Amino acid sequence: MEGESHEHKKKGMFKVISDYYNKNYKKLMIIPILLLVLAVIQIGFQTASTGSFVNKGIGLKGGISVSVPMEEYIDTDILQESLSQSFPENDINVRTLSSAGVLKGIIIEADIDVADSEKTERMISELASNLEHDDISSYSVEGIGSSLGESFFNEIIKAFIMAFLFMGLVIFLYFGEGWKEKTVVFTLTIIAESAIFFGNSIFAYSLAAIIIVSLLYLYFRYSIPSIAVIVAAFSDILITLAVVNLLGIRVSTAGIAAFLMIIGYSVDTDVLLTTRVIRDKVGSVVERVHNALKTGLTMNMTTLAAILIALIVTDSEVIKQIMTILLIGLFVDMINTWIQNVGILRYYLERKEAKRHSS
Amino acid sequence: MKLTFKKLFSNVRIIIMLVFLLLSVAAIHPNFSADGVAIRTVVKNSSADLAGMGSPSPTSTPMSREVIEAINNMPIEDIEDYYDSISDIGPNQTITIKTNKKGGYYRLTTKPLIEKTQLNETEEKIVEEIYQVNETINGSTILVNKTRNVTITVPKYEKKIIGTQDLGLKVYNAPTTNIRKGLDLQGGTRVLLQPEESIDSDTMELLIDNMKQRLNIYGLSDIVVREAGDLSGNQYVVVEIAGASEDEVKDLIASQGKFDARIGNETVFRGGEKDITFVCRTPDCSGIDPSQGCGQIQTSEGNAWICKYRFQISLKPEAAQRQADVTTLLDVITIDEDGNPLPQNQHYLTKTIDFYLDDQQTDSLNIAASLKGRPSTEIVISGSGMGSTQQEAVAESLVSMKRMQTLIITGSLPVNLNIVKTDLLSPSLGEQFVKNALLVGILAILGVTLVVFIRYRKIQIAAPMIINMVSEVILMLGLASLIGWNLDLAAIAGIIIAVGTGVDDQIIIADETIRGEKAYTNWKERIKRAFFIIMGAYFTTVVAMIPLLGAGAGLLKGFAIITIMGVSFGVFVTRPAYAAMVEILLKE
Repeated sequence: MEGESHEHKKKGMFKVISDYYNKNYKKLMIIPILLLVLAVIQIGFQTASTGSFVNKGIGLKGGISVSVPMEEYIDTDILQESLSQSFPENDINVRTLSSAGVLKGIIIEADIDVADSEKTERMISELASNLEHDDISSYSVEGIGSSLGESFFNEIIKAFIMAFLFMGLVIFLYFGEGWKEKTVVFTLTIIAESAIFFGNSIFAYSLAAIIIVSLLYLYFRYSIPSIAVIVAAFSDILITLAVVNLLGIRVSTAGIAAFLMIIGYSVDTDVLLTTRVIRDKVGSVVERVHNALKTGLTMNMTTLAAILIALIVTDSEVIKQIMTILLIGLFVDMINTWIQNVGILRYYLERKEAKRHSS
Repeated sequence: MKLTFKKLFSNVRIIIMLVFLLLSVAAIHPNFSADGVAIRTVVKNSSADLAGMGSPSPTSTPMSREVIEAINNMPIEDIEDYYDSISDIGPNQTITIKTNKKGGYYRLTTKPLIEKTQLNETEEKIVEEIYQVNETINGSTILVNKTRNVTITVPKYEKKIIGTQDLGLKVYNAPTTNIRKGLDLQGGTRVLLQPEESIDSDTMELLIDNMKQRLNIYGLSDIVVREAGDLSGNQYVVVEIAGASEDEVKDLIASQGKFDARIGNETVFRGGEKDITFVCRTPDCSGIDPSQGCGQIQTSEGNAWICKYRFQISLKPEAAQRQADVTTLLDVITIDEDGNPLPQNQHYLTKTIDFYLDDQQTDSLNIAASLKGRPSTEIVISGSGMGSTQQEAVAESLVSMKRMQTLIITGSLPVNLNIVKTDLLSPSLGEQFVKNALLVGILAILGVTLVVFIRYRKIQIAAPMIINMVSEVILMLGLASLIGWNLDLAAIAGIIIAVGTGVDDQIIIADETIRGEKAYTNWKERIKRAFFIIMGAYFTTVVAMIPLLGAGAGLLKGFAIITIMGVSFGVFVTRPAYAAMVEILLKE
């Protein structure tokens, strides 16, 4: 008897959540929208106060490089560990320099500002005590610039905008209605892309901006599902970025790759959802959403399993950073796909049903 | 059971995947017990070079490189063995090196390391000097070269033997697969350069951009170029490169690369995009000169081969006009050296067009009389390369040509650079990275399969997933080996994405086939619907990656390419095979 009521309770709770989810999709939409607004505020604040929308790690920002001539073998991994512990807010990397097979020295790179003489001196003394190599005069310290160049961030933003334009086009061609509309969207997208890629003037960028606004209007009018997918991918990146900033993660060049990977699996679940809901012929909208949810959550769970395993087993700082960003992105994507995207689609379909019934 | 296997292996899609897998494994060419050290380069005129050892061609696959197996009949297993065995060799000694190549048995004579010190005395030497004099032959006055012996006074030097010269072999641990590792996985050459004069930050930015462009055009994309400065205010540039020899790097970036073409004292055009619009790099207008080819010459060290190369370039109209302005003032020569009249089409002008690289003359050509006063935008640049055999001369000549083309395309660096030091830098990802990454990969695959099994409770759905995930990784590694792509962090990220979306797609296939049992009975219908979703996600991901191909940073370009190739492989090869496997296994 006890077991049965327990089972009932579990099933009951599940049903309660499930019913709430089905009935109150509009109210639930507040969550992703609120998150997006908060994210934009955070990024804006970060840019205003630090000059950049992300915390830059050593590859993006530059720092100092300390070279120590050495001839006895040393375990660079242990040294890197010990230095990282003394400087928890900094990225430290230790590598060896050799010539003709003989160890010549080690080189330590850290994202410490070369003008910060107090921290630089602390680094040098930490090194000296770790190495038991007191001859500090033989250490040479250099400030090094970032490896990616100044124009890198501008190029990234351009590439992102172009990527989203292309994605919008593909989704529109896939789920939109009407050949005329599709041709118009196609042409406008190509013009905007060329303007962004080839043009370097205010004129070109304004032209692109105008076209983007008109494209958004077209998506809204002729294919709400398309705009839902784009908005989901866009919010994924913005919200993940804000969370990464709040956690104080210093993004390295590998971290940038992680953000791009989020687009990959965001698109997977959103296209699945949109196809099942729009193109399935059987079942009510709610049933179709549930079916998509079953498949989609399995996809999310496998990704989660892989990310967690990688986080636990790896001892590479680089992989840890990639996986952490992916983990945050995964949770954000789940909210954006199953609450926001679902909400938009249900609203759109119910409006369509209402129009059909009234005409 | 037997029937199932037969069905599996006779299915077209599965056969296609197996074929690709076999091709990939062949491309990777694994040999995990490889011993010895492989030769990266042979330094010119070193003991190794004179014994006949040669550098591998830069495009040859890692597993085809020549590997040193024994020195003086003692087996060499790794780099430490190598450096141990050569450390005690004195000068003027003979050693034998055995490699894995057919007939790979070389006898080297070590050369002494000589220190030259200048003494305070002087001595007299007789040298040959070339001078020019005006002579009148048959009525026209031309400049003629004559030689005479001259006595000059030079400082005296003392030579002392202080040790053994390096053998001239750059080696590394023999590779176990054809997979090339990128800068962050393998480390590379680190060159510290100092500009000859101090420069402001705009010029420094221009310098770094120019250097990156030069290295990229030459074919090296796995590079890091950064500015550095020490506390006393000295400026440096740090360059890290994987897969290039020290000499190549020195030649490419240490020289300012000032290329100019002069007629007499007038500079007619310079390298770089201000004057040059196009440089030919295809075989139809560049390569070894077919009319002049190769020949043998006598040098102080014996016989040598010399080959001439040429390639076409196009000038901007302003540069062509400058050339016309200079040639219009020159006279035409209508007779040859012996005074006999030349045919009309062989008339040439009184001055030659000389090519200079960093103020050193590389070549000199006669200007055809038909070009007098005419602006010509098509110019042919020529030069030569030398070697001890014809094959070497050809290779040397093509390398010189490639460097010349690079320098003419990118123009000169804003300032000259001096190399302060060159070292071998260990990889930033640590030696243990690959082993750890493999462990992470295997455990992640097992974890994912476990989740799938818990969800579907059918081994016929979960088991093929492992096969697929592993296959996709092998296929991508095989492709990377085949096209010689460097495996770096970006590539690893791309592989993770491709396998990740692969799992997602397989779940879509699994779900469609299972739930379709209620709604659609036709198997083909179910698979079609699954692939509609898969293709939609595929195209969206691919177009999202395309803008990154044009992005400046090399890291993102590699990531985009690997991702696009990986998901394409998945969608067209492994996922159809998975659908077939699930169909066959579930129908049983």
